[in-house]
Amino acid sequence: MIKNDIIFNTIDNGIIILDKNLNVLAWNYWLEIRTHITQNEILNKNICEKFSYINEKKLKRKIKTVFVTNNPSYYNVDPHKFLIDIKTNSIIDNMFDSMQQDITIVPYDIEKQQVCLYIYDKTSLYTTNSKLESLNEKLRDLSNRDPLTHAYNRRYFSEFSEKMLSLSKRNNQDVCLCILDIDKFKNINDNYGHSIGDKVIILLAQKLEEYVRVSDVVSRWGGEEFVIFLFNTCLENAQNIAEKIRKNVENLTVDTNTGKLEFTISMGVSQYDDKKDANNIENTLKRADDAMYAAKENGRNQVIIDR
Amino acid sequence: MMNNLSLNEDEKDCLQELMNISYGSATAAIAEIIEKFATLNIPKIQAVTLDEFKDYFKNKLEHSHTHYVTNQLINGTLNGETMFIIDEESTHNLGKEFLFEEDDSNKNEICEDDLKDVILEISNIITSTTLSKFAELIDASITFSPPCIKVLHSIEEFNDSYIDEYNHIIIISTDIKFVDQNIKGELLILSKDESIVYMKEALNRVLDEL
Amino acid sequence: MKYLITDDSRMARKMMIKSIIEIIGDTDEIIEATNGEEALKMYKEYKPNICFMDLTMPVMDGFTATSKICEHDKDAKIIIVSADIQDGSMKKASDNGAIGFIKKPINSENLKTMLEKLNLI
Repeated sequence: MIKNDIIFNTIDNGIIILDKNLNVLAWNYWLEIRTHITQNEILNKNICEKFSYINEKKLKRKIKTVFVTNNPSYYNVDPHKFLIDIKTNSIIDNMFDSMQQDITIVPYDIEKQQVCLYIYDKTSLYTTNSKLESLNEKLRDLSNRDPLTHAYNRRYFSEFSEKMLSLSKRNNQDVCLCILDIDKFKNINDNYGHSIGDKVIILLAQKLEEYVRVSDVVSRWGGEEFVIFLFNTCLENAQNIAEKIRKNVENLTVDTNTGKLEFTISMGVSQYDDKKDANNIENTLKRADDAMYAAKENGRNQVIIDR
Repeated sequence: MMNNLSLNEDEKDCLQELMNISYGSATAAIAEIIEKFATLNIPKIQAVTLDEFKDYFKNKLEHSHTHYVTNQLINGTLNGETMFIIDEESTHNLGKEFLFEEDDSNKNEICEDDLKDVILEISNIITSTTLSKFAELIDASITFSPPCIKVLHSIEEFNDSYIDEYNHIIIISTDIKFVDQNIKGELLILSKDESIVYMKEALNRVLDEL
Repeated sequence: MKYLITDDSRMARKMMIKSIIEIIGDTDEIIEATNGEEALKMYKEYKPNICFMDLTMPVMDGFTATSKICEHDKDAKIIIVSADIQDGSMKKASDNGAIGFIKKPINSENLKTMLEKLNLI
């Protein structure tokens, strides 16, 4: 039995000494208090038998790493969460039920093949980090997304489409753009009011996300206009996708005081072309925009392709 | 100040060979721990400035969108930190190689936590063995901090970190082949200026003896 | 005596030369090759007594070069000097005909030990 000394029992983290068969040779006071298991109870028992959720193969491999590299090995809070499940008892800030732990494993006795594990309580640090991360994500979203519809905004789309274009070119993949806007939107605002107008835009944004594939990106270009980036799509397919969207939108309705409001969209579609667009996706967009204008001139509620 | 700290040709050659030796130890360690034979590919080593590195990394990100980065701090005679960067495809190859020889029936499901775990382990083994051996070869002593892992999607996320503190970066680009899986990873060593000074002195000591 | 050292790294060759001179003296001829293919050519041309061979090299690696040299001369004495110190690599080297393996970095100690073990000094 490892001699208990003051440091061993007053230090503010867990200390376990294991032999190569994963039997516990030491278990300090910090652990006794938190697990309600005394050193006597656990001495010479296999740690994986006592705590069946511990992955034995992984632990053995991490211990082997310590002896082969002669350097520490680790269990990280992300992704492991913990080695020993200790329920947290903080009433405030209860993001986690179990203590989040970082573990460091170091050699204790190389000849006898014994290791020492240090267990650190990282719950509060990890809670703060997680909150920070989610705040950061919100911030990123705020700068990348349109506040009304939560769709990507124009700025983000411009950056993103440039990158995606070069990636697609490198992989020899086609890229199409689809630009659309709500027909006679000004009338909707005038006749039903801006809040209904907003509802239409929000509904459209939502539905567009549903209609497109996972790889496509929808953005609100401004006002009642949206642009869709169609990844790895040829013009024919883009036309089919656009036509499907147009049809679906025909069936959408927004409730108003005077009944159900229906609306339609006009769409222009173009495919990136090296000769026509000279590596600039803005040119592709212009062609799609011209096509959409033609759709409007031609009676609205239709898709026109720029060939 | 920066110009004095760049490595000349001889120093670079010497560093290359020392890193080669150090990396050999790392490969042997991986092979022993994971019990699979690994092929060591001659690590390509570059000593670059911070700006050159940012360009290099921007290029990498354009080829493959998602990268996993683990980093550890080094303290001692050499100060700085290491980063081990691995792209998404290599990560999946890693997962296939290490997670499915076990009891798993779900060959198609690799959950992100398992992947992170494998990456952390491999990067810790490579980093600590390579750097320890290198330190030994240049009579330095170092200790490491625990590694942590991040997923990076863009160069902006990378810039968010503290990397601007480092003026000199050594990039070791490697290909680890396990039977038929190819894993491309990059070990970066970011050094503080005093450490570069120490390294140059040590390299010159080795060179003087030749 | 003639020695052939093969390694694509200039530094590594210098380190090998230094160790050889320290143990054996500098009166003998030392020939250098930068990859396995050159090594094979040099071997045929200069007929060295002992070869020191790296493993990881472009064009032709150490395993292949060792095997080809041994094919050409079954009494070839090839000692591998490499950073690749996996058990598997050592076995593969031996299977290909190498008579010894020195883990880098080479120095006068490990060189002396190997040469004594092989009764070459």
